[in-house]
Amino acid sequence: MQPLILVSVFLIATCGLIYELIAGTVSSYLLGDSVMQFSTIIGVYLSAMGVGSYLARYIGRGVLQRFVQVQILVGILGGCSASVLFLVFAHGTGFSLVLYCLVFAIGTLVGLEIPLVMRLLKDELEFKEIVSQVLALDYIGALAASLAFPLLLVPHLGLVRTAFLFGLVNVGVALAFLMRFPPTRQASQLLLAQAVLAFLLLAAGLALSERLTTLAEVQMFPDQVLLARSTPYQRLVVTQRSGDLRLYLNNNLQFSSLDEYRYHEALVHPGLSGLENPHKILILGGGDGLALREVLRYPTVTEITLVDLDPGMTELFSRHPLLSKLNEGSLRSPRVKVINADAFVWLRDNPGSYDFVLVDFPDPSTFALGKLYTISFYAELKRHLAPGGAAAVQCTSPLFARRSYWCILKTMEASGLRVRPYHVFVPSFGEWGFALIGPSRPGEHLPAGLRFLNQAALAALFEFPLDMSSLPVEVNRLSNQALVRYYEEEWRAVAQ
Amino acid sequence: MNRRQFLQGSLTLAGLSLVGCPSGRTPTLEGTVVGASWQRGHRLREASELKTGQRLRTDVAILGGGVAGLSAAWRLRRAGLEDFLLLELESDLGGNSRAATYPASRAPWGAHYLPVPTLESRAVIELLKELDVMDEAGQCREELLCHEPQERLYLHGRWQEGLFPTLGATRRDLKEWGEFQAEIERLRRLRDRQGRFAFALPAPLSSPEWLELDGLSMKAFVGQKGWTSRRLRWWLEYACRDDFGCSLEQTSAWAGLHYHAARPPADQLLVWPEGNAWLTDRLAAPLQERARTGCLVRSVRTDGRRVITRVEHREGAFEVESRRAIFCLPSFLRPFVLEGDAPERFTYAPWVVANLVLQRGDEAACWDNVLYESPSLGYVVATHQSLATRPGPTVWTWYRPLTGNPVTEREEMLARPWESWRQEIVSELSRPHPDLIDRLERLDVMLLGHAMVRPVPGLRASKALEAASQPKKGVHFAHSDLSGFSLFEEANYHGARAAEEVLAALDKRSPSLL
Ligand SMILES: Cc1cc2nc3c(=O)[nH]c(=O)nc-3n(C[C@H](O)[C@H](O)[C@H](O)COP(=O)(O)OP(=O)(O)OC[C@H]3O[C@@H](n4cnc5c(N)ncnc54)[C@H](O)[C@@H]3O)c2cc1C
Repeated sequence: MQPLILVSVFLIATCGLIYELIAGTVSSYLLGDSVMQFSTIIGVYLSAMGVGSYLARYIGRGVLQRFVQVQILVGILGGCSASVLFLVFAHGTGFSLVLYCLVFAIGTLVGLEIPLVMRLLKDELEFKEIVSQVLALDYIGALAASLAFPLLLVPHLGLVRTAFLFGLVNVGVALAFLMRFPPTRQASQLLLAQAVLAFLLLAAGLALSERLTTLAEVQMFPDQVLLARSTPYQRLVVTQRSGDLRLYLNNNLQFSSLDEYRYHEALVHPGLSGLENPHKILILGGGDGLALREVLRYPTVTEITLVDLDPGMTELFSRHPLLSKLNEGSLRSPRVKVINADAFVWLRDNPGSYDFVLVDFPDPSTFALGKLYTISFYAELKRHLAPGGAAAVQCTSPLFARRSYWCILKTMEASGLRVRPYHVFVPSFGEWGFALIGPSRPGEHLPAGLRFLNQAALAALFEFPLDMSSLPVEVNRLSNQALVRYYEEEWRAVAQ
Repeated sequence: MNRRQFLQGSLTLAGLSLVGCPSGRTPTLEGTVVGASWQRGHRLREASELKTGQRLRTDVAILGGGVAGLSAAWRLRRAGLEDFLLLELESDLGGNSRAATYPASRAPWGAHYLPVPTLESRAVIELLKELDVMDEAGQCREELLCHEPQERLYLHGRWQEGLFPTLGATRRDLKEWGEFQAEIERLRRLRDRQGRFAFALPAPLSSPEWLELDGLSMKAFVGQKGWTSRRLRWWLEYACRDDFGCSLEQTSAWAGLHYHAARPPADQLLVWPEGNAWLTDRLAAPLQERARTGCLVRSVRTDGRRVITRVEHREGAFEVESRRAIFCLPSFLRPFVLEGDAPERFTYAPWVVANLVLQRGDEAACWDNVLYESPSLGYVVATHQSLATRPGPTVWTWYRPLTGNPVTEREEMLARPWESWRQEIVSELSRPHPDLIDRLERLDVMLLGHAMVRPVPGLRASKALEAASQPKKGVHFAHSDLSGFSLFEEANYHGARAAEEVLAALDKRSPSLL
């Protein structure tokens, strides 16, 4: 009996710590603030273990059976913990409640384990032997877990699969006990069935974790997936690693929280700060509310209309604690009206003119998106500019997609707009390009509180080095979609 | 599909397979066959005397409200002649350029595009300027030019851009295709001493010097050139089927080459959700009570001074007495309607057109979507010009010309029930779109017995077309048939030409638009 039990002690100790680490990691990835998350989780977990140890005294006879049951339960709860936490986070509310309940339940069950094991050994070994061997193995198991978790498990398996794997270990221990020490026939059959079911469940989880989209994303993105959601329009994924929050739309990086301020300050301020008294602003795209955050720095602005296709996106960025912290709650500002509509169609169907228009669409990577960069679109844009109004347009990278960039500028000019090209360096993106329509003195009234732009940086935006300077290109029309072809060629070359 | 639906879906699937019941979903697809009023039209062939009640008088009677008839009315109005009456059998004007109306979109029942006109199509240019499609400099409105991507072809289980099957083409295929294009480039530039193009659009403005090509079939022409590429032949035949409803063998080489050589190399198309009904609706709008629908023209008699047209209408028969008449009905009706008139026999291709109403279009769809070596011509997408970036509800218009023996094809076509068309169309389009049946809400079929005149070898060279275009005792003739193939430009040309003849005869002179 003895060797099996001792090996089990090692294994279950490893599992116990792994679950604790998983809970701590998931929650600090998802909720941020890792010190706080980790210590509260450890606290809850340890106290729950105490509760478990205390409860062990109420288990009288049938220690072996109880031990097997505990193993099965820990296996299921711990094994599914990571995926349950991700699902709850991505789909609903009450994440913290589920988190702490889960931690408490696992902790209690793990707390039961050691006292039960000791009682199983009491007939075979002396008490001092039991204590020293069991505790030594317990600590060694913990050491193994704490080393394997960051070095092997998270990088190679990811959280979800690690959890399933260790769930299987727990259930495996249960099965081994059942084989080795079959209790009475009837009870054993029931227990065996339970263990086998649990084993199958976890094995299926392990096998499927690659196929279910969310779980796969845990592997796909370099950082930990904080949330993944499909809207009817796109696939939204937010990842996080040590304070770097990233948004991917259909697997394309939209921003990194470390340097998005460079992008959004450059998009908004050269134009908007050049106006005397801007009141009415229109933002097309930009459902993340980050450009909006910059616009709200201007006290004269009273009315902002933000048109974004995807309600899933604007809702997420106005409600999610971390994301709305990033945009400083801009989407909930009383000065803002959010409209979920297809921008070109909305622009065509709605009159109204604006002092400043921001155009921040995804890059022209498809024919559908290419429409938003055509001469017809810019003619529509022009129609919505108030006299003396200004606009700024994101225009992809003048370095990686040089012809695309200049094609957009030429198209805007062909629609009768006077444009000035400018660009900024955003570390996570590279060189990024924009077009400015309007104000004669960009940067006149830069607001306070900026992190990137001052007068010197502003002047530098308008300088184009040789490798990004203008090229002969076609005008982009609905009837030729020249831009999409340039863009595809250029980014394909970059990818190679 | 979000994850929850995905999970639900897989659970349902698992459940179904457990119960051992395959997901044989019977689609509740609706639709009808909406043939043109051929039953009423066929009554022309029964010789029965009609009792006539009322007699209406007008300067000019226009018989038939297709593009030719509407263009004639338009031309008369531009010259200030307002006293005319247009008589049309169907309940809508437009003929082969009519459209269907669905909640998702309007969609064509026939003609679906107009190429940006060549300089010779002067009347079309005038019309487009009047309708604000074209500006004074000759630029067409951007939003009406067919958006990219325009065409794609399905072959080897995938879509390629463009209609020539380049995917998997051999060097020989491409070489012959290149030779064909070079030949077209040469023909495109040919002019006679008077400056007339060998291939002009409208066709009657072409030089007669190259008409020996009309004696040859397109198939024979391709044979003479030594082109054997199956892909090239398919592509050439596709063009003949698309424009004329003919096989290579049924098309005269002159007409087959005209399709390519009369237009600039990369011609742009004007398209609307409802197709050319956008144009006919605008031509029809100002006519009001001067256009009467539901009127079957039974007979036309003329004594040189007056033309008497007898008309059958739901509310009784009546007569129209006019100084002149412009006959814009298909030419095959002439022996039945016009006393003592029997022009050269025109032959016609029957066509089937279907409108498929879909919950959701295809993200990657082009305007024109063709299946390689398929009996149909594929489908065009009604909402292609939408400015939205996401596919929404749409209508696909599917076309199939029947290129066999016209008489038997026509009979079989009219006898086939809706279910049989549905079966054919859905199974064909399910190849590239396996989920079609889940998105398809409605499928309506239009059967057109005499849809298009066939430019068979010899028709043009025999001068039969010119003879049939000559006015006879106060009756003038205008229908696209008179060009030997039916195109908007041809119908419009003949309508304007006949109207100008009438204007001259009635001493209402006005500078020619031709
Ligand atoms: C399926 C299909 C697709 C086509 N696509 C194109 C295209 O994309 N582009 C293009 O340019 N052309 C296209 N065409 C050609 C099209 O026919 C011409 O463009 C044009 O519409 C022909 O006009 P029409 O006036 O000459 O003839 P029709 O349209 O045939 O007009 C004749 C009219 O006379 C009416 N009529 C018939 N008999 C009687 C009667 N006894 N009494 C009263 N009225 C009568 C008919 O109802 C009809 O309205 C297409 C044709 C078909 C069939």
